[in-house]
Amino acid sequence: MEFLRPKTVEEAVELLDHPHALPVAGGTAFPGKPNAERLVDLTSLELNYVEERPDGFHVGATTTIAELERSPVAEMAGGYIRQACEFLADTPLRNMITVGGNIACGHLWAHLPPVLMTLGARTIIAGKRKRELTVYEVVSAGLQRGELIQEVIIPKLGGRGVFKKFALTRTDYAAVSVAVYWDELGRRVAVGGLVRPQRLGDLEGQIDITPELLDRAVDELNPVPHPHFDPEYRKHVLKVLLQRAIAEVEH
Amino acid sequence: MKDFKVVGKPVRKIDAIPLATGQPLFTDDVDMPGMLHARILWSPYAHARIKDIDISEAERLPGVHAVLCYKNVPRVMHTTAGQAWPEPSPYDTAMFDRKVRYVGDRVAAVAAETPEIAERALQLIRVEYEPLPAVLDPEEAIKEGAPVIHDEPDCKYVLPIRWDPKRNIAAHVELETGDFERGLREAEVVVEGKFRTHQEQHCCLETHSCIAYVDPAGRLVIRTSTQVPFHVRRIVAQCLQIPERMVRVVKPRIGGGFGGKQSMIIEDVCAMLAWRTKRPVRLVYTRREEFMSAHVRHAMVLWGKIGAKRDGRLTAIELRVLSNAGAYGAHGMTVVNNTCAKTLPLFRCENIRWVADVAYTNTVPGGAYRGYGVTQGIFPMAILMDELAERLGMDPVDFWKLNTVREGDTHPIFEKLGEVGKGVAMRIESCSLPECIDRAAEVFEWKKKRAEYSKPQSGPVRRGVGMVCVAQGATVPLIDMASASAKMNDDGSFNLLIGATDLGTGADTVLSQIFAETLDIPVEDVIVYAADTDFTPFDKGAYASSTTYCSGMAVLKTAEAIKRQILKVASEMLGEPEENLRVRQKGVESKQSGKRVEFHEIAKHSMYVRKQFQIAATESFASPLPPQSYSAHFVEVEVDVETGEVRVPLYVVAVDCGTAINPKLAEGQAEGAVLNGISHALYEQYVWDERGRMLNPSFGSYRIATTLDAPEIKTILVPSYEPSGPYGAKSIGEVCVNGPLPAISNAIYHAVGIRLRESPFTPDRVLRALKGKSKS
Amino acid sequence: MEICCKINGEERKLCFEPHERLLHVLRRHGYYEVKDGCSEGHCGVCTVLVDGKPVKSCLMFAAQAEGKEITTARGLGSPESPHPIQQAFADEGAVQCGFCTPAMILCAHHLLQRVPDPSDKEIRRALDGVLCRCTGYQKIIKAVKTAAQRIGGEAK
Repeated sequence: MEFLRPKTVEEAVELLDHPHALPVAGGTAFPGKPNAERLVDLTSLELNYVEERPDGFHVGATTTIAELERSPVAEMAGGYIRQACEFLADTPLRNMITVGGNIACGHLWAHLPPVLMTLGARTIIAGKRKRELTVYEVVSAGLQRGELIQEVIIPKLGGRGVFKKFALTRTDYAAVSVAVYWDELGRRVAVGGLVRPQRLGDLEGQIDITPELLDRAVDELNPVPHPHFDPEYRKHVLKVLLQRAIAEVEH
Repeated sequence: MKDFKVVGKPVRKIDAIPLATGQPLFTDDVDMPGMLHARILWSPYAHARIKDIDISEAERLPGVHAVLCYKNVPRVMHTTAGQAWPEPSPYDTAMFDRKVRYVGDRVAAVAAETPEIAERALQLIRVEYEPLPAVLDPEEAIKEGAPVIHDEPDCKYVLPIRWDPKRNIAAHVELETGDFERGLREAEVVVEGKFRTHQEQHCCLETHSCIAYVDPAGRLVIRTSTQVPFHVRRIVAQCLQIPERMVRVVKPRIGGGFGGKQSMIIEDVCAMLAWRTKRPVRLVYTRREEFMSAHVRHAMVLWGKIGAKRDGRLTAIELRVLSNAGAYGAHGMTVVNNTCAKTLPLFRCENIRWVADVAYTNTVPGGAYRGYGVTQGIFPMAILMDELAERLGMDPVDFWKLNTVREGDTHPIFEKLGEVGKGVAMRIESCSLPECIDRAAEVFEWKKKRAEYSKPQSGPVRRGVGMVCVAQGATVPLIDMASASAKMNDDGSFNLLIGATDLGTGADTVLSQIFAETLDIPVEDVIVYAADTDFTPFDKGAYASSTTYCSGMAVLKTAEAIKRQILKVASEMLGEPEENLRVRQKGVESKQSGKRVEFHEIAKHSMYVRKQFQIAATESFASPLPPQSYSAHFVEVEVDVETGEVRVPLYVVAVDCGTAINPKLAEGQAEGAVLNGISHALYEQYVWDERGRMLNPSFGSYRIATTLDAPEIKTILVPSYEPSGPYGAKSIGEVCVNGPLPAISNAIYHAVGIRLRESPFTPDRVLRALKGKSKS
Repeated sequence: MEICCKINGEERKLCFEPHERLLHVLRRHGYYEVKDGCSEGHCGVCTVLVDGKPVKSCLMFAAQAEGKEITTARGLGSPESPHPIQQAFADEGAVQCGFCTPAMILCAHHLLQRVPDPSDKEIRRALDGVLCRCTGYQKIIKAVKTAAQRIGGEAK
């Protein structure tokens, strides 16, 4: 096995174009010995920044959750991103987990994807050719060989967002998470924890969330097994959290 | 409360600074030249016979030095329980067996140059299993036709204990005091119910760790993280079939025990590998192994019944218990005995019927865990007490005070049953429980909160308060023995050599304080060396709430013996009779003439000047009684009725541990135990699949409380004076762990009206109960 | 492979296999104060400061320590001259078995660097990544407050 530390994105992309290469940054996604022949460290690529530009906040992929939490973007939309960062794992882990990793690893419990989905954030993907993907596209389809997330662009929005997490203990992985963003244009809702992070379109168009609507939106989800909580219970909790988040954000 | 100089003071823990500055004090904090690394092959089956095992390929792997399995080690039936000899646990375990009885049972072991080679070697071991039907539930296990887990002909008890391994019964015990039937007839209100408590891992941050090597004299040295060095020496010698004189066990600093290290979990294998290879061997459990292949708190099914008069006095108590021993019976009977022996003497009620069975199942073995049966026994009792109080229209505080023991009381159980068997009659000489209840209620603001939360509440979060009391007896009387040696140095300081085992509790400090108090010296003048079977005298080890009480008495007696020698020398030096003399501030002075000699002068005199001898003594203390410590627990909960989540914002515990030798360390024991109890009640749980595999052997899915989950815990020490203990002290290690489980259940009932008789109270279970209630 | 970094103020060369995590490499090089409690990033007793920030060394790749400054509990103080936080932990009864203590102290150190007078809530959050089974955390939280007061007093 080799551990490589490229200094530029171009170099990293080249090194990642290998059948058994694995990009690493925070290192938290997998304990033990990685199943790879080549580890490509992304932490020297100088992708550690949060910049406010006219088209939004540009967040470098290796920005840690702790750094994101203390950046200006965290305070946008009523501290929406700060809420997502606050109880993501724990303090030392927030110094390790990166924004890019939290999106790219595809963990159900990841806090950022549902929030970023409701904000309409885009990711800049470096690879043989640069491309732009939505967070949902990254989470659902993953990246191709030789690709990495270079940057996340979060539009500047003036509404309000609420993030909620349900877990056994405060630092536990989210067994259910909801992210609700609301402004004058309407409501956007995303969920995670029990399923791969995704938007719940059913709950976005309607002004009033009736129990029937909630049932329809949630019942079709197919929760991934959890060691402690059965699917029905987690769906129930999801409904509770959705109602609470929506009520909180809109009143 | 008597006036002391060192006892009763919050002396700084003597090892705190070395630990806080990261000194290499733990078992695994050393490297040894040529050290091999051991790994163990675990059973993937809950129940299977090993038809054959082929280790030849693993043995041939370069870097592998030894491979052990049932074919090449002596078959010595023993118990892993670190208990006094002869052990009250069945000899149902062999180092390696032809049968595996749970997922995580031992199959083979390897010692190799590196952990990676050892891991690879495990994969080269070919095992042919014949899977057998498994039984995971204790109620199923004792049914006719259940798979027999211990069918080996050579399993046995070395004490006369009722058991029936053909029916998976690892122990049967029962007892009646007074006249239960009469008591029940006299009752005007009776409550009863079925309860279940769940398994729990100790979660010591330091996993089981051991380094064994053969010293230049050919003796086996075992450096291990254990609560019971002397029992480990005995059991390892037994398993390896070598004389005990060939074995030395050294206990360095221990990264937590809580009972988990009161068993010989890994030392036999590590020692055997070192013995065979003549190389140092290191065996350190991974966290996963800690969950799957160590011991747990016994899960139990309990049926309780309590009767009372209209005026609130209890007339009868019945408790029937079925304990899940798991695959092996270590600690099985003794833990279940304590659901009676150390639980029920809390109550002022003579008419008691108690019947208990311990069932083998194909799950991870139960073992010792802080609380040791009281945690399980008090759960039904304390919930039924709460129900009774409600039925009688009494405030629980008044009801508990009316029905719990006081100074001067006795209890028929004391004589009839102890942890191991027959008990000893005892009059309760120290008990500040009534004051504990009052003080805790006041600090908690019980009356105000109880009234406020009894009013109808709206919104999703409902509040409630609950309380319980607990007793826990110290030591296994007539069996537990501790001893200490001390010698005086030239400068008037002392070496104190103790077999007692500080697991992080602060026992070394507490024992130093007792020694220092007796000789009127500062703690700094006591150099403690603890637990090395070659150098320190026997101590049964750290368990059964006995170190402060039992080892403390041994230290006290040793200090007194030293004092007598000092006074004798001083008498000669001062030319005054001993009765005129007393020790005072590192010296001896005459009450008559006021003349004085310093300890360092006495030491030098005894070493160099006249009639030279070493001022030194060894004394022992065999515990005559099991004096009870008490605690009163008050908890506030917030229940989210939409999700079922339970939060604990405040916990108040008042404790009677006699004299708190070191109040700060005593508080720390109470607080740690309380949070362990809360974490057990709300978060911790073994999740099994239908094939008996644990699905969550990781801190990632077996969560324990963090700083963010811990409530504010207020601890109140309410002194009493136990005449049989050192400077009035009893014990503090265990009693507080037992309160949270029933106290939280009672508080949830107060908040939302559901009685949770099965633990844990995870949000899904709470919500289910809430839904059940709203339907009915 | 081999890297250079600064550990407790000393330039060190570390040798290891590419896949190895910092925890195991540090322990192998004699930094036994960095404890191994799970190797999965959950218990936090392996926490060290990397460029002043607490991270779990069981998950950080050793190779990523190149050029970094690493601090362990032994880098803060010694038995002869303990750091005020170490002293406060000892004085307040915050050390029981001591296995989590070095990590707790490093997390507290990072907190007090940023927040000299932290609230109860801030302390709890700063220590949320390290498990302790002995203390119930009460005395640890108290010790951090005491340390903050003592350090603040010194500064004045």
